Amino acid sequence: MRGRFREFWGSNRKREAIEAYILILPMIVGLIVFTAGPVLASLYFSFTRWNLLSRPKWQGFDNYIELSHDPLFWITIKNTAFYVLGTVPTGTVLALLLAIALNQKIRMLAVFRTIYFLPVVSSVVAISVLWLWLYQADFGLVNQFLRFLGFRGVRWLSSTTWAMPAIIIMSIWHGLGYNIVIFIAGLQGIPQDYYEAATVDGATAWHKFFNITIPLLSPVTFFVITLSIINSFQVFAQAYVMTQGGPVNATKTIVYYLYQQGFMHFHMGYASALAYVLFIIIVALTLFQFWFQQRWVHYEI
Amino acid sequence: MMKKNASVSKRLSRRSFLKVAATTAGLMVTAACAAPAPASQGGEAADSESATESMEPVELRLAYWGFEVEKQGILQAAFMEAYPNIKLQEEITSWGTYWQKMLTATAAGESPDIMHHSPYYHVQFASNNVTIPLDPFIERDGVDLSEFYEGAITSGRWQQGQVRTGTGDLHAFPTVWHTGTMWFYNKNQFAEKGIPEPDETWTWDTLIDVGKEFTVINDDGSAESYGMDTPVDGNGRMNFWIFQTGGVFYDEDYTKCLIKDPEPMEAFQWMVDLVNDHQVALPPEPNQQFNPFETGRVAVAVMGDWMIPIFSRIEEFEWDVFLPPSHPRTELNTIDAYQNGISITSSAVHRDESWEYIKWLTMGDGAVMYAQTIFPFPAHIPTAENLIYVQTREEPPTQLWLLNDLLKAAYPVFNGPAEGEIGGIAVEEQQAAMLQVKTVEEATNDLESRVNAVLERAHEELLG
Repeated sequence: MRGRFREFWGSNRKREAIEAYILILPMIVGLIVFTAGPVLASLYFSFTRWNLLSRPKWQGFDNYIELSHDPLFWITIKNTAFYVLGTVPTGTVLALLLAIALNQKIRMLAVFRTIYFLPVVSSVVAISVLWLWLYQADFGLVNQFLRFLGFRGVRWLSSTTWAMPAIIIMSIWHGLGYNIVIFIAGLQGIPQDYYEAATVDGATAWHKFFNITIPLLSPVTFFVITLSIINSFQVFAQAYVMTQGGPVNATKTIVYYLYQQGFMHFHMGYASALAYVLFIIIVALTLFQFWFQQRWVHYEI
Repeated sequence: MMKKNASVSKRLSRRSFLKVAATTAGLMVTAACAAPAPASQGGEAADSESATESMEPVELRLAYWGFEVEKQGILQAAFMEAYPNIKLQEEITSWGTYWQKMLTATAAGESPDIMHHSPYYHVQFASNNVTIPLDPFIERDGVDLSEFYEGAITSGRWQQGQVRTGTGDLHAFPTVWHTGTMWFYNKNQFAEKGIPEPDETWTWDTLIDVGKEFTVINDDGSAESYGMDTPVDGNGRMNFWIFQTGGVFYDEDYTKCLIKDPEPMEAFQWMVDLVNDHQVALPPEPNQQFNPFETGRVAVAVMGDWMIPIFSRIEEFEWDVFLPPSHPRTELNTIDAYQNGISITSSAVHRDESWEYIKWLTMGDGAVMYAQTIFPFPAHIPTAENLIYVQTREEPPTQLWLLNDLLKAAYPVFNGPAEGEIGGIAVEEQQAAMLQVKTVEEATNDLESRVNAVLERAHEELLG
């Protein structure tokens, strides 16, 4: 054993191993200090009352108990769930349909793909400001268009009914390009043989879509849905820039409320508790999806 | 054989690596998470290391929120020229993140020496010994505090056992004394309609009569124009309406919200009626990207006086300011006002030099420069009256001098420890009533209970 040990330390393998670890050391230390450290620290703070200026005061589960009685917390849960349900199904279906369209041999394909992907690489803050102008009630383009069609305009962002749908529409538009790219990659991974064989058997386009494309695309769809749900639960910038959670809390999401509690009112303990509740919700939903995918995701035919 | 070796190498090297990584990270996490040592208290004017005595140049870290950044730089350069032994290191942050930075810097033991301050945060910082009392410096140098607007001085005072400012040691020396209730009007729109320009005879009722003349709603529901903007002050609050009815928002001890008293209820109902019943005021809009006054959508606007430098860029129409319309019964046209201040932190080593800067900025040459170039509402009365509130002013607003008497009689606001949170609640409930999501009764009930809960927690945190 000792001989083997010496053999190892005297070998190139040892040098390579050390070099490899040295190379990844900054990343590992960064991850521990700037991610794991704050994550663990915030777990501790979630059991304290702390305003940054005084010393944290231990108070057990009080923050979590207070959360369960906080009507605003339940409003943010409801708003966030509404946002997730509004963005994920619609965004996924639209992305799939557009991906199929952009996967065809049509002219100016690259231009269309670029147009759809452009919002993804644009700053969400800049986009939110742009949509703020579009949604302006009296002279915004959206209402001008609606009036042109003979409808009355809507006070998009100052209406408790319409503010969240307005943000959902903008977010779908913003995230569409990313999902389209993923779907296109998935579509291009489906062997043409299946389509050719189906054609020989007399299958219609609908049959091919529902019996080949959808099943073989299910791993990609699962990936898109899982990521979209995680991202949607963390929505913040749109509400921050466009409505500040208003009007009357209609667009206040969990992360916006967390930001408000932590960085506007400096209730760091309460904000940390909110963060952990959000974490638990996302983990639970993701685990459920992994369990449920066994029923509908096909990794092979 | 190779497999076993690889396994050994993996185990041993990983262990060593993990030891190093864990130790390093552990030390860094511990250092990062360590709570700051309690700041020392006291504002002794003579016990600090004085570079003035030793004539060694000293460096002061000066934090302010970023408006007119270039002009601020010129201001600091002028100070350093006048005081060559003091070098200022500026730390500029936008208003939106300034307080996050100040709090996190303090938590990390990295407070600046001098910080510009807002009444939103006076109590929090003073009660946690982050800022020091300035009274020893004031006494030593014989500073005449009667040269400052009274409210500006009391707004900077705080004493142990209090949850609001008003009495005790002066923690924030006033730089600015100003209001969120400045009444603007569009001269062109008044001329076009042939309506006499607003004057001291205006009452709340006049607002309705004149407002109706300017409000034009199209058949498709879009609005061409409104008589006035959303009837809240520049901070989105309703304090001035309440003051004019003769009421107040808090009780004397800051333990209770008094919104359900008859006078504040009258004010709240009035605000909502301007939008929904009389329909002369713009309904609340989120994130006003298009300032309704600047874009000519309203004839009259009540906004913060800080809009004056912004409105001075308007070329499309002429504008001015006028006295607030008075309450028909009480005949009061009281406005809210609040102080911007400047403080020395307890971690400042060179306190005498820091105080020199504060004196220069608030009552010396810096006060004139600050008012002329950056923020034209000095708390120092001689500077204000000789420079700003003069009747010979030619550029708009030519009637700015009207503000002087109003500021002398103004109600100081934002004196408690949780003003930001309470402000947010007030805005939500006002909007709920104006957008008819809640009745006035429901909105004021919720406002009362929510504010009382915040006050109760603030008392518990500050007084135990």
